[in-house]
Parts: sequence; structure tokens; C-alpha cells
Amino acid sequence: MSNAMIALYRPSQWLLAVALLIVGSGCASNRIALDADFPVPLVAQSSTRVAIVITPELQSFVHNEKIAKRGDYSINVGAVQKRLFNRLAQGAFNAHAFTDTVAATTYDGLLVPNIAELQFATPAQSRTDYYEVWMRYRFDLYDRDAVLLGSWDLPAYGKANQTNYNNDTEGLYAAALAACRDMAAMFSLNFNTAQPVQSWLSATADAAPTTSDANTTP
Amino acid sequence: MNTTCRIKITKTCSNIFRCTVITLSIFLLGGCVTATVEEVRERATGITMSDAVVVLGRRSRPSNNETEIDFISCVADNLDDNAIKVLNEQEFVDATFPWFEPRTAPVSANELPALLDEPLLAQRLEQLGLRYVIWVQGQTKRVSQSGSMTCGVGAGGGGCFGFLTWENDASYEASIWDTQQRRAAGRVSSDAAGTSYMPALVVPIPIIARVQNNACTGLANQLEGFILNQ
Repeated sequence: MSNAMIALYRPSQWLLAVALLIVGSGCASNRIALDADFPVPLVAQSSTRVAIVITPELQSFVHNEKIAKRGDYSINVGAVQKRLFNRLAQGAFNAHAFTDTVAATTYDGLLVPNIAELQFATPAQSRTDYYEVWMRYRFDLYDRDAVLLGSWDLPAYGKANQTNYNNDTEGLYAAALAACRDMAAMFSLNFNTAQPVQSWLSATADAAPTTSDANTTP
Repeated sequence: MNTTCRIKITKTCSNIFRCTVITLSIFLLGGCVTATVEEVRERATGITMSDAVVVLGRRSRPSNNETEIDFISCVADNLDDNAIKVLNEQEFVDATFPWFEPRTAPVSANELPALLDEPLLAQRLEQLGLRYVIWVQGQTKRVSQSGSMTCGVGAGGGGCFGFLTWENDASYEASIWDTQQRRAAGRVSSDAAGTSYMPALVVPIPIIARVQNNACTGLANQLEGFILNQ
């Protein structure tokens, strides 16, 4: 330790250290892990009683990508999905429950969110002022007997102006957070009108028992 | 006696020199900015103590002209006094989620009546006491730059030599929507331009024109007058 400090007193060693720092920072690893809360949507609640399946795959979703001359990028959006769907369900559904497996339920149906795809772009790549994140959510729609009836694809988009952020990590964090909010916004506004959901709702309504208990477990 | 006199003279000269340097620095370190503020009023405005306003940045999806977050905060902070209650942008967007998100926010005042017909949203806006929504769009851009500067570091020390100059142009427009009247109340625009300099003779001395700050204070002052109907 003391030898290294003595060596750095020489100007040539300082220059080498500075050069290594500059080269190293050019290929830095960017690790983005979302950790935020989300607002509850202010929309008319759906009367459908839904069991929402938050799978371990969804909760551990991390997008990893290596970009030439820019370094490694790791975007962890999975860690906030449970919180995101919890807030979303509080506003969007009259009665809901969370579970982690697809299985027969006493609720009207099962809703299984997945992140099918995530892409991102930095201003250096797109030659714009924006960090951008695209996500494609897929909601698998099951009936109460855990039979798959359809899927609803929901694209989400978030962007962040580079003038507001100091580096790629901060910019992509903001863009990924905006994409998650965008999904929640589009879900809450379009849930009752999206074609695959309407088919699912009518199928679950036909199969619904005459008496139902909103407080039963999924 | 002679020595004392010499010391006194040296001290006085030193003070004068120091004062001159400080005075020059104060004058020089702020570059010149020219600013213009304009207003178009479509109807009379006014506000009570229980009413609030919110300043929002336009962040709709296709926009390549997104307003800086710090500019929105600057306008809101400059409006925030005893006369006008200003809601925090992020808190407002969260409280009204999902109606003011980039893909769902109303683009024109024509969409306002339909939006205000949403019962839950209308109820929330009433709770917040929202009277005016102020949409800000625009940006500060560097329109030209010239000069060069070279910096070097050696064993004996370092320094810079050269001269840089750049011109910034700020152009912002605020649309004021009246939620009580359910229509646009008017527009206020603020433009500013200024040239910044950075001469360097060993040490670089930035002489910065505070273009964005001028546009912000100009816009905020005009908005205040507009809302108070002064």
C-alpha cells in the first residue's frame, strides 16, 4: 500500500493512473435497478374479481446488453413489478388478490403479467436528446379453472431528456420508470375496452357462479 | 515616516486594485441577455386564495422539444408567493394519475371539457383546488459557438490558453387553461438570447449569459400578472 502511494508521487505514474481512469470510465458498467413507488390510478374500478399472478420470472426480470465501446448495461425492472401491480390493482379492480402460480381460483379469472421484451436506446446511439426504454408486456388471461383464454399485448414507452440527467445510469433509470408508469396508465385506461380482455371478461362472466364471495382466497 | 507612508500607499493601491478587480468581475461575469415577453389574452382571469395553479412541462410522445425539468421548477418557484398557490408538478401528476402522463395528457384545450367530465378526476381536481393548468413548452438551445482553448498539465503545473464564445437561445411558451371556464385563457411567451464568453490565460474565466434564467423569470412574472389579471 505504502509502495503504491510512493510510486504515485512520480508524474509519469500519475499520468498513467489518470489515463487508466479515463479508459476505464469509457467502458463502465451501467447497472440500473428500479426502486420506486407508483401512484394508484384514478379510474372507475372494474367489477371483475381478478387473481393476479406475479411469477418469480416477472419479479426477477433483468435486461442485460453489451454495447460496443459503451460497456455493459443491466436494467432491473423486475424488482418493482409487485409494487407496480399492487398499486395498479388498487385502482383498477374492485376485488383482487395476488398469487404466484397459475392454478384454479375462486376469483373470476387469472391475470398473468409478463415482460416479453425490453429494448433501450441512449442519446449516443439514437442521435437524439433522449434516453428511451420500450417494454412489451403480455397479459395472459386465464379462466377460473386456469385454462388459457387469450393474451393481451401492451407496449409501454418511456423517455428521459438527457439535459435533465448526468449520465446513462440516471437517464435510463428515469426512462425505465416512465415506461412502467406508461404501462400502468395504458392498462388502467384500456382494460375494459381492449378486445382480448373483452373476450376474456365475457367468458368469465358466462362461467361465473351465481353467488360469489369477493373475500375468498385465490 | 517614509516607510509608514509607503506601506499606507501600497495598502491603498492594493485595496483599489482589489475593488476594481471585484467590480470588473461582477460586471464581466454575467454576459448580456436580451429578453422579450409577450402575452395573448383570450378572456379575463382571476384567482382566489383557495385556488391553485400547476405548471406542467409538455412531454407528449412525439415531441422533440421537451422542456427542461429545472425550467418548470424555476417558473413554479418564481410564481410561488402569497398571491398564487402553486402545486408541485410531480405531486400533481401522481395525484391525477393516469390522466396527465405523456401519452394520456390532453394536447389541446379542446380536450379539456371531456377530461373534466371524468368524475373521479373532477373530484380530485376540486380537492386540490386547481383553477389553472399552465402548460409550458420550449427549450434553451446553443445556436452557435466558436473559438478554441488548449489546456495542458505538466510536472511544473498546468494552465489553459484560448478564447471560447457561444450563443444560447431560449424560447418558451406557456398556455393557460382555465378549469373553471373549461377553456384556454391565453398564452404567454418568453424569448431570450445571450452570448457567453470564456477567455483563458492560464485560468479560464467564464462569463456566462444566464439566458434560461432570464427566460424563466420573465415568463413567471408575466404569468403572475396574467393570472392576477393585472
